[in-house]
Amino acid sequence: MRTVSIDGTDDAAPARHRLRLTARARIGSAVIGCTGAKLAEGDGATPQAALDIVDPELGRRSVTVRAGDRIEIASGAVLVLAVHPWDPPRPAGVDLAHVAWEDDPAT
Amino acid sequence: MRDGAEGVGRMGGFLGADTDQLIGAGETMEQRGVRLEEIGEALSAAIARTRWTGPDRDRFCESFEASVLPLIRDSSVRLGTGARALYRHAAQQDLASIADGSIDSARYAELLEGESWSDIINWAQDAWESTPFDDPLTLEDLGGRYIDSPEGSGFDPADVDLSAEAIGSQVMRQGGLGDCWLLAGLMAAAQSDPDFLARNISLREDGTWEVTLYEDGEPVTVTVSPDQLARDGARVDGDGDANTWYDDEIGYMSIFEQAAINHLGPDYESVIADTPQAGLELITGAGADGSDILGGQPSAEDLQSALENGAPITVMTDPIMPFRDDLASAHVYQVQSVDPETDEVVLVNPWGDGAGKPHLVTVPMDFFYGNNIVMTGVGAPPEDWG
Repeated sequence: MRTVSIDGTDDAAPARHRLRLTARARIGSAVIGCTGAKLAEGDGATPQAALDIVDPELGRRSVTVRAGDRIEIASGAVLVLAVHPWDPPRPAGVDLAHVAWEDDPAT
Repeated sequence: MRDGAEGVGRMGGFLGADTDQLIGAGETMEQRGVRLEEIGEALSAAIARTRWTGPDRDRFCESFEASVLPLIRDSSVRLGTGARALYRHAAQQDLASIADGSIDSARYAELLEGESWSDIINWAQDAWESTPFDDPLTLEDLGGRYIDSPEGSGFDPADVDLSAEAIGSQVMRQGGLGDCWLLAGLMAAAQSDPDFLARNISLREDGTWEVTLYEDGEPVTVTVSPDQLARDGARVDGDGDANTWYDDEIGYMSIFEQAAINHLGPDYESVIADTPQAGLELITGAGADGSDILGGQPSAEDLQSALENGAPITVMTDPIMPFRDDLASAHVYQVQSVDPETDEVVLVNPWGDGAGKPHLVTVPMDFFYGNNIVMTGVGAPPEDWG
């Protein structure tokens, strides 16, 4: 696993992205969309989210994440800080932080 | 009615729900779920009792057990889950409405069959205390101002093509706002009558745009300034499936999106999540028919007939369905066409064609409402707009 540094240089400082359910955002090298956010069935009602990730180097993929998960994209790591499930009238989505690779932020 | 997609209901000064009605609806759902399960078991038993042997029987039974029974059981479970969700909402509503918190916990304990009352309260409190979105989204959350970005440097509003030809042919690319209900409505209106949208947006001499939206059927003129556009707002998806994102240009959808924010205000939250019906009415000024899982869902023939009359149609997907590769949850899509030969509906994703989720999704009518579509909006034909 490549390393990231939360306390890194300015270039590697984590950037927070609050991504709403059904929205997309450019995060690091990828465009990430939130395609679902709900309580997992049979899993202690843990909030989980589905993310649609398009990365020019790594292609397209769909992943299911929970708070604390870590996703690697070409430009660094995306940390899942929190997931809020579909829970009307509260807003749903994911709270993400992108941290550039410590050793090679250009890739 | 706004707030439909994420709200229980807002009627005049009333916000919330009648908990007796919620519980009544839940009990009906629960009873129908049990009945559905009984029907599945009865059908299975009837087939087993039938005097029939041979390969045709084997194929039929295999198909029934593999395809039909799971759907019946799944629907039964979903009705039960839906009922429990309504009971929870009713409990939380009572909790929020009664000042001293002294609600009839025994009643809910019985309805929720052992799911402890404290669990309900704690779950709600946990969720309420920890949403990442307690603070409204800001311009910074959306990448700052477009005109301050590298790609927006030197932006000239006069370069935005607002012709009917452009509006009718451009591909939508949703951005950082969860306003698919609005953008899908724009897509549907652009397919039905791009001239109408072109007439409702114009560039003034001072470099701002004038946009016409509708409130309760009455036109509202909204001013949009280029310096209000966010970097991660809606764009023209002009690069096919390349998904370059920042190269996507400002288009009519960018300006309409900002107009909706300005009109509905006071912040970006005002355009996040609503019903298919609300989007069509805001854009066209004409009443739209809305339906949901409780009734009134249009048939394939209804959808096709409406499209032939030029009506814009949008639909919302199930917010709690299992995560899928083709459809996003709680997402509003445009209904582009219905093929009567194959009985399939073609949906268009406002994300454009650069995402992992497909731009066009073909959904067989057999499965259109089953765990897929929970809400529809069928607009009026263009001659009734404005």
